[in-house]
Amino acid sequence: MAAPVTGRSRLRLLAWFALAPLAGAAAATSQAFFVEIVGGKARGEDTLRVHQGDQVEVRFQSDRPVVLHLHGYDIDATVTPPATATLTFKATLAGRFPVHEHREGAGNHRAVLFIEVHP
Amino acid sequence: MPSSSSKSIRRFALPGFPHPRLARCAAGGLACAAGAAQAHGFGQRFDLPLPLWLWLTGAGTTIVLTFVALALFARQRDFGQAFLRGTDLLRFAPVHRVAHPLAVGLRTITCVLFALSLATGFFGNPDAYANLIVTMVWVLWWVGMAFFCALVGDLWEIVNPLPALYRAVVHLLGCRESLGWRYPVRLGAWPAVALFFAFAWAELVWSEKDVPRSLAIALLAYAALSWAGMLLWGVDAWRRHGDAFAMAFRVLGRFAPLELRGSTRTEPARLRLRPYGAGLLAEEPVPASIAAFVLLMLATVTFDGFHETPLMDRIGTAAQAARPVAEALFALSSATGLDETQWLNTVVLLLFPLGFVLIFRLAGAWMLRLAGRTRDTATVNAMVWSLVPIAVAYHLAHYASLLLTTGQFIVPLASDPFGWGWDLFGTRGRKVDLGIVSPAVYWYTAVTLIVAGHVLAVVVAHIEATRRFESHRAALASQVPMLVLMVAYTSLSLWIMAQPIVG
Repeated sequence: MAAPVTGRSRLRLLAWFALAPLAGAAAATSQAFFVEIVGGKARGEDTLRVHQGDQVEVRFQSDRPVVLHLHGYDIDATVTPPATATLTFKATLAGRFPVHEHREGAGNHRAVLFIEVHP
Repeated sequence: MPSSSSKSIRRFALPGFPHPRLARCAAGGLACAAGAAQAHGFGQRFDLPLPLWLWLTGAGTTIVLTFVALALFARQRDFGQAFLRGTDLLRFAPVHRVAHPLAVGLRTITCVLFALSLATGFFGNPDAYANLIVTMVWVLWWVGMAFFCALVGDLWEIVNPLPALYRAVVHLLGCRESLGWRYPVRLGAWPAVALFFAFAWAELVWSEKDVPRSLAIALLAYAALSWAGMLLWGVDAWRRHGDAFAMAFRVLGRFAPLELRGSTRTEPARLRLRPYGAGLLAEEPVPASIAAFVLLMLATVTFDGFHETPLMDRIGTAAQAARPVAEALFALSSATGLDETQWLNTVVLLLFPLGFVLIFRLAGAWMLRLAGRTRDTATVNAMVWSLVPIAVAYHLAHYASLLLTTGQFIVPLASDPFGWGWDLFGTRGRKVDLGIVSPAVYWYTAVTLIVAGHVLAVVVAHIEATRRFESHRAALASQVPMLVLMVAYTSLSLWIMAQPIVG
């Protein structure tokens, strides 16, 4: 009788492990970042990682005026040096979201940085 | 100076729609949609990369299952033969009665949608997200039809509007269907190969792929070319050799459980139910041009994922740093309307299929050597089908999120296809829910699909080998290079999914 029970509990344990990432947003916290933009690129690490449900605050400083746009969340921040600008949002949606610089004219404008919201 | 807002982010608008910025885009020429349009033909994926442990689990499972399959094959020569059987659904009276009217109805709908898409492209709103044609072509038709053809059956064969419209006009005019020229056998399916490359280039490199008017012009040009081909060589010859999309959907449809074929002069219509992948066992010889077409499809799908990875980014940086390469790219971009990145992408897009063909040929030569055969190109070519399940699985995994998120644009567009402010069905302005699938569900589904595709590929290759090699030993030996190739291809697919999108 003992063997099947063990088997079943082992299965259940496996299922829990498999589903663990689905649980998400278990420990939502507040996250603050400071990003320095030089020549349209983030200095240092170009990916910020947060958890779903976190309250996120990203403060930007730039060497020239830029309009930044966080795709997916569709929010903007206008940086006018020497002042900094702040992007605040609640990370309700999981995914990898690029922050682009919006400027005149078409062309391949690269992402300034990425914000990864993990489940 | 915060100018951000975080209100109600449960339902989102993708960049540029329907958002106040839309007006600024049209008026001020801000490159707001450009960022969204870099990746695929259209739309943007926000997928998180596969976590390392899941990637390793997927790759490990792939290798273990490959050995399990090999052990099973070693014990039993006819392993998987039962797999080949199918059922003719047209035998059943109700199906037989419904099939024809249903096909006619669906064909009429696609003809109307084709005409409507052209009309919106030429006369509608120039904004990509407000005009039906862009979502219709890149998401609903290219991704959606590919999904349907791979998972259900080659519906395109039945609903393709180009032959339908051509035949309708011929019927109206009461003239002959074609000039009756004999299609040059030497050309094989190479016209379709060339056209598919042009299409892949348009999808991945062309900067005006999301400009409604340009897309409409391209669509009309392709249609005109197809009609010219049909006029010269006949509808069926063009579909078999020249029509890249008829060919692409037919390749995917071979994987599907429903074999769909409209009636031709020589053959009646077919509707057969079979197991997934059974259609990949080639009954007829596979010419080199068809093998090249399949490899080109696989290569472009892989390139689609690859060109968004950090590695491709580094290749781009390295190319700019190497003086001769940078100078060549600069010369090319000054002489043409394409920029350096586009030229680099074009070159890599060309190298990918060439690399795929080379690797496939090498694996083929190794396979023949192990099986004790020489110069049996027919067998090597037939093996190309066994790679299709891996490509289908990767394609599904890669595009699923795009279809589920960007595809939602069709809801508002149905009410306002021209972007003129109509509200036919009361769905105008309906927003896109980007959180429709959680990343975890997406990850598990993607890895399961890719591993399942791999197993199916291994089984198909084995059955094909037992049919082509007399001795069990030769058949088994021939599979070693194929298995190496498949494990490499599957691992590459998983690796791409584990890369962060930087494109």
